[in-house]
Amino acid sequence: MTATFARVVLTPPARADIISVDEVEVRIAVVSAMVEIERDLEFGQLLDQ
Amino acid sequence: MELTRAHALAVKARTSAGVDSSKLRGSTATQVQEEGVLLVEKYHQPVAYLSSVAVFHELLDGADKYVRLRQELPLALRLMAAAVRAGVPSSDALDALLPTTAESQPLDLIHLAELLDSAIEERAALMLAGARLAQSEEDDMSLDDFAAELGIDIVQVRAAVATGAPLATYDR
Repeated sequence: MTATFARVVLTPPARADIISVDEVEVRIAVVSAMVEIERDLEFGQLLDQ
Repeated sequence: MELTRAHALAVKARTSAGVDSSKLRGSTATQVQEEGVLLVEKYHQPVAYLSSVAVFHELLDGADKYVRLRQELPLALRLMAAAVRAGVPSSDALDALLPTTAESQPLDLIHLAELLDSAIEERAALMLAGARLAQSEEDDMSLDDFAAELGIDIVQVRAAVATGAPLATYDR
């Protein structure tokens, strides 16, 4: 199911921090961490369901 | 035992007129051990104090603590001022500074420094949160859009997270 709303958003400084990292693996790890945070939120529908 | 001049004078009072230096004898050592401290007088004027070994060590220990207190006090005052500026109540800062138990250190500078450190961290987090609240949401980007911008397949990442399979590993 497609996400009905975005619960994790990234501010411009946060995006700049992540983009400044050159290693693709690290970028994927950061995105994975944010997905986990998204899943750990107490309310709302899981985005991958 | 806290040894003070008042205490020595009290000993003098107990030993009547003290020990006249012209009449010091071997029995004085015994008397010192019994009394702890004796005031030595010459022509009814105090000229010295005699103390037992235990009292002498306590005096040295007390002097050592006093010197450390003198050395640490300026730093303690600066830490106290910084802590109050960082929003720590002065009573809390004082509680942290003064050891709760009888320790060798007269002031607990480390405890106060830790309190200051956590207060600064908390203050920085509050400022960051305040700045975040003041920001416009127009420039925010959803995780999906940002992942697409990075060229990362968010569906694949979500699937991997859901199954507990990490997509990235670190080599330290």
